[in-house]
Amino acid sequence: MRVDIVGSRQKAVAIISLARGESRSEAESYAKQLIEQYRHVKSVLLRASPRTGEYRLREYEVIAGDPDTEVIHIEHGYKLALDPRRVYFSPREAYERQLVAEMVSSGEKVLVMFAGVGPMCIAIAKRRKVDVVVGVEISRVAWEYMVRNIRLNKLPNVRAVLGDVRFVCPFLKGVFDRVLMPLPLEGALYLDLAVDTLKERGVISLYGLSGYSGEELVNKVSEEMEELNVEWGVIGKRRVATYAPRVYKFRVDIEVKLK
Amino acid sequence: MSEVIVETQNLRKYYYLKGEVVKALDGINLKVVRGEYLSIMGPSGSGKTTLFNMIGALDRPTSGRVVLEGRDLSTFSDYELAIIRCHRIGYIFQTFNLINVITALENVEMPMMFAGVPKSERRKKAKELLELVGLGDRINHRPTELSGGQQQRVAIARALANDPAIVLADEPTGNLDLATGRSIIMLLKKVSTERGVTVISATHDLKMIDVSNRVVWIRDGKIEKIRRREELIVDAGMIEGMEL
Repeated sequence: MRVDIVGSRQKAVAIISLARGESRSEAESYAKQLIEQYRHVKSVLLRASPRTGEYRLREYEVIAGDPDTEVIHIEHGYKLALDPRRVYFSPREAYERQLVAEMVSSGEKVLVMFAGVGPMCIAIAKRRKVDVVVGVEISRVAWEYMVRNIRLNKLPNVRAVLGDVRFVCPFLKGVFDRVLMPLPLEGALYLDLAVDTLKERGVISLYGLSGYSGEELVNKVSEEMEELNVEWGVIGKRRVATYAPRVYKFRVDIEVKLK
Repeated sequence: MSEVIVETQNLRKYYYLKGEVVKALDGINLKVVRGEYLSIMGPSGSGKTTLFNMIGALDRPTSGRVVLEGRDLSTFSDYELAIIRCHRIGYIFQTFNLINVITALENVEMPMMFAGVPKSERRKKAKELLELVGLGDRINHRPTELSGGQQQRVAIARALANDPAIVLADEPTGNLDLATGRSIIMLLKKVSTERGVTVISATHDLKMIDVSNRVVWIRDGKIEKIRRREELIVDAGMIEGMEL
């Protein structure tokens, strides 16, 4: 069984994922214990489907506690309002968000595609004196949370754009020093858009799935980048998390120079 | 003679990928004794993570057996394997996998709660374990208030919570700088020696060699070689030739 807790010491939601062989009745028993043990855990959700669709959502069942599952999640000193049943969010990537924020230099303009409720945008703006961070998100619900989160954290240099990156990015050509693409399943398909939004030189951090070494993702990046008329090189690679048996979520950092 | 804690017998794991058979493990025979510190090394795609998952009851073999404390895991139902994972195996991950909105103490308590340990007992034990890993003064800190090395120490304490027969560490130093990684390895070695815990670590990290009783190199799903620490001469030439 895997347990995640999203929220704060005031109100939190626990999310249970059952492993093979574990039953719903066990999950219910664990849920009861979680609510008894951790007073701030007000609801327990049971993961009922894989993530699907454009908004990367999954089905959950409320198996204990309050059906209102909206929380203010706190990590590394910033707050994120979200409802895990309505938006994509991974609390396990808090450390990755910090690592990415550390890579950013003062004064940079940063674009975060597929920004969700804004965790990456906010992590960066909280940690670095950036010029601006723009988050683009296609889900209206997630975008509304991102707008709220920018206000919650008092970060006027973070902007939230509602829309599909395919239609938004052409309006942002040549603007950014850095582009983040946290969409592991098909982010690579949008590399051309990301390149177009960069200044003469810049860095793209692409997330994707790969085997243990990350080679498959680097090869995929090579295929996509070779199609573009730019100089480029992979300057970093990190295994972020286990995604499935023998499949890992990787981040590949690509330095790009326009010809 | 030392007690064998886990044994693999002719272990095979095959996958079918685009019509081809991929032999991730191809006849692995290995015995690990109680209190041993074993490192599994090998190039990417060699099968070390697959072997790690088999020993950890996270995956089932195509054929062959994993025998943990004398019990053949292949005869266990999924439910029984879940019980084994909870009670007999501790896991440490590269990415720590701690819950950020509860304290270090509560993180360590959680596996004991699911194992049915009474509240007062689990709190006492969680405190002891955090002291053991050098975090006695940080028990009420949340993971996001701790450094990467401290977070991995919490993860080690959590792995030890239910007195597991073995601790499986998957790249435990992969997210840490050199000095912090070394301190984590030394801590794992300490708990292995002082508490008689068997540690099996899948790693690319050559620092592991210093503390391992044995190192197993896997290549193409087979054991390429097994060396005891005293047989290993860690010099630059050897490291260069290992294609890690």
